[in-house]
Amino acid sequence: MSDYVSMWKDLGMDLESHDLLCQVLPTAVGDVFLTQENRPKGMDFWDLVISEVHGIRPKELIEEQKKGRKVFGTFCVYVPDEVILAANGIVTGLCGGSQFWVPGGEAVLPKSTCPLIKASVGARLGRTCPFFRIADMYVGETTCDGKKKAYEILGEDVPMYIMDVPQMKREKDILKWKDEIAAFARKVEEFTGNAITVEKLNEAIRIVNEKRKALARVYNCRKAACLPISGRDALLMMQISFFDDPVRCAQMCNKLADELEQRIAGGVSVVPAGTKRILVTGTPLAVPNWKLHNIIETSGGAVVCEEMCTGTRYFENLVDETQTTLEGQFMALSQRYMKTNCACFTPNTGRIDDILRMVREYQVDGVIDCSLKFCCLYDTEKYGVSRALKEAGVPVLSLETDYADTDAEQLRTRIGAFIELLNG
Amino acid sequence: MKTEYCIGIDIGSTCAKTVVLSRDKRVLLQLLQPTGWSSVDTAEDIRRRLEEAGFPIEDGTAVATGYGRVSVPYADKCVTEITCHGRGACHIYGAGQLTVIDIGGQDTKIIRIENGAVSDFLMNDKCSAGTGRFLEIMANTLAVRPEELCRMAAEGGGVSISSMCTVFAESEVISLIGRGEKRENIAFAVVDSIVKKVSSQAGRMAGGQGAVCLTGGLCGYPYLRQSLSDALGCEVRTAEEGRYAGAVGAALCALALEKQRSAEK
Amino acid sequence: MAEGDLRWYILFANYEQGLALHGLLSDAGIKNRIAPAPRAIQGELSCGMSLLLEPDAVEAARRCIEEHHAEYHDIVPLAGQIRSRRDKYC
Repeated sequence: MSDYVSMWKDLGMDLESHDLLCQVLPTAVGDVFLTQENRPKGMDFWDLVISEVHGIRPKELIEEQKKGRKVFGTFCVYVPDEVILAANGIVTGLCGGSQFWVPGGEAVLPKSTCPLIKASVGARLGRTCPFFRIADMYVGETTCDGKKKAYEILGEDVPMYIMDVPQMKREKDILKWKDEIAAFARKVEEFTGNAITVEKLNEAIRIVNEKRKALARVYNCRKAACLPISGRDALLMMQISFFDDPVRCAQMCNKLADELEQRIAGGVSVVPAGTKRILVTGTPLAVPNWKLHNIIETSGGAVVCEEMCTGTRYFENLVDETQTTLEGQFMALSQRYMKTNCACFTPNTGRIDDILRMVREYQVDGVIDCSLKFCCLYDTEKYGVSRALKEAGVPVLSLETDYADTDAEQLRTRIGAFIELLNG
Repeated sequence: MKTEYCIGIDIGSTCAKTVVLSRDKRVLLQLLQPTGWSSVDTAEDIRRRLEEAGFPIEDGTAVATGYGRVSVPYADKCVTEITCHGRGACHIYGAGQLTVIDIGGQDTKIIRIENGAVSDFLMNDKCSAGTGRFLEIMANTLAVRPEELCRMAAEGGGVSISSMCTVFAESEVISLIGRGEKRENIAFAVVDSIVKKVSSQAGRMAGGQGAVCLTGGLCGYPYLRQSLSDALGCEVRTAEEGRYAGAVGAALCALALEKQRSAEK
Repeated sequence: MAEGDLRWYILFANYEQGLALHGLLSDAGIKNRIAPAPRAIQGELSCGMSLLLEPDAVEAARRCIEEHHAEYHDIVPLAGQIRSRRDKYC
């Protein structure tokens, strides 16, 4: 192996272990994506990225670092990308989605920790992911208990900055988050050596808004009765948008949306008429976590929407682009980000409103509420979500799973039964 | 070719059940055999037995369900055991509104039926407590068959097993035997443990109209049924053919499939 | 085309070569898909991108490559790489 191997070596990666991951990823991609017929031509881009997932983008990041730019690794959609971009930094989402990294995390974390956290810690400590090696600084947040304490351990191995996310959404909490954003901006300026000006921040806000609008356009196409793209493909696009260059991401998503709109006009659907439309809600599905979508879509269902961080929460609501002072901009950012309805907040009835709205907008037949094991927050919220959906007459299936393959049959039985129930 | 009969095959983790129904839903044949190591081999054996009994697969429509459903290559369709147990229970108990409690070999299901169709369900297939496996293991430890354990339980009382986990519960049972506890009392504790687990699961789906009915392999144990009724505060019905509910439901799905196909022609 | 059957992979030294040939083949109406190169046949190559061909497209693909002097590394057969219910994720 040539190019990439020397790059991985220079990054201090554990090549032998990493190679084990390289052996299983192509098979998973083949099984999940290449078993589909009639995919949009635009998916070529994301197929390329996932084929070279530890090659192309890491190489780009390293080239940028040579020009003096800093790379920030993030773990939560509350962290404002705009601030980092305004200081000429680069954002890369680091949440781990593979079982491969979990044992590495379990060496230092309790077994009863969410797999996403274990995988993220394991990816860093096991030195088996180039993104985790490249990031100059990690940005953590005080969202859930598991993450809060895991960052302490991770912070011993890499420079870490923690943002204090509020627990509630009162006026004073929005002000507090604004102050956190302002403090973060100062840190980013210091770390990058670049000043954040009103103009640069406005430009950054515009770039990220454009990306949000492009993602929203693709999702809008999934509202049509004629479904032009599968849930699996939309999920792949969403997952990659967390670490791709934002301008290119917007470009490729707009191109895809153009193609999808044409498909809808031409009546091109990727599923037979009458396929049950499923909305998936819950904890995030970090790359390469495709298990749930694959099982749903090979059991007679089609995923038309994801109400989660790796879904609507990533792009809904734009940031106000008309502010003329930094103070005003930080407030605008806070107001937008605080609209994200995560279970870390109390109360979180906004999430239920969102789900009910999306059931209507996406013409949903049934909702699957799926959380990662040991996530107390989302597991507890299932009660409220279930109750609200039942009252609204919407069938709902609550699930809990992790990254391992071992529960696939059990999931197939439950999801299969749920879809049979929807088919009446 | 119009088929005169429909076949339902329920390959469970412990036992495989086969039912053949006539077009007017009469039971023409019922087969029971252990699933064993290979669902594929079991499916082949069932095919042979059906042929020998005068119901060759080629002349009927077949639906497979259960844990081993994907291992039945000649099935016209696979349907989950939840839907099949639901349909089967409706047929056996003659009702369209039910709460079905299916205690299987390795899992326990609570299925809510409204208007003859599944409206909700809860599965425990992650833990063997409250399943047939729990009963089997404890019966082994007491060196009796499960039926005998349930008969003994009716004469016992006053002892309980605290462990939720089957493995630790087994240790508890061994300790109880070791310190000379009456076998009837230990048996009582075993059944009590199963009933507690199952009624807790059923309680989470409380509030439905209609009867509560048992299906699955533990249908034939009167003491267990009575205990469950006491714990739930309502009469839990059982039926002789209860353990065939999955296969009956699968056969009914096969009938529906066959009607649909004829209509499409 | 049944799942798990034999398919052919065109391997490359880098993804630029891969994209170039992808364009040529697609323009010529030869069905080909971008796929991660299976590790088992990747050997010393670094490039993770390959082009996936069904067996009946291989001849036409070879002709197209020759005609355009397209750059590529090798065309290799491999079976069993695609099964939607294998349920082995990563």
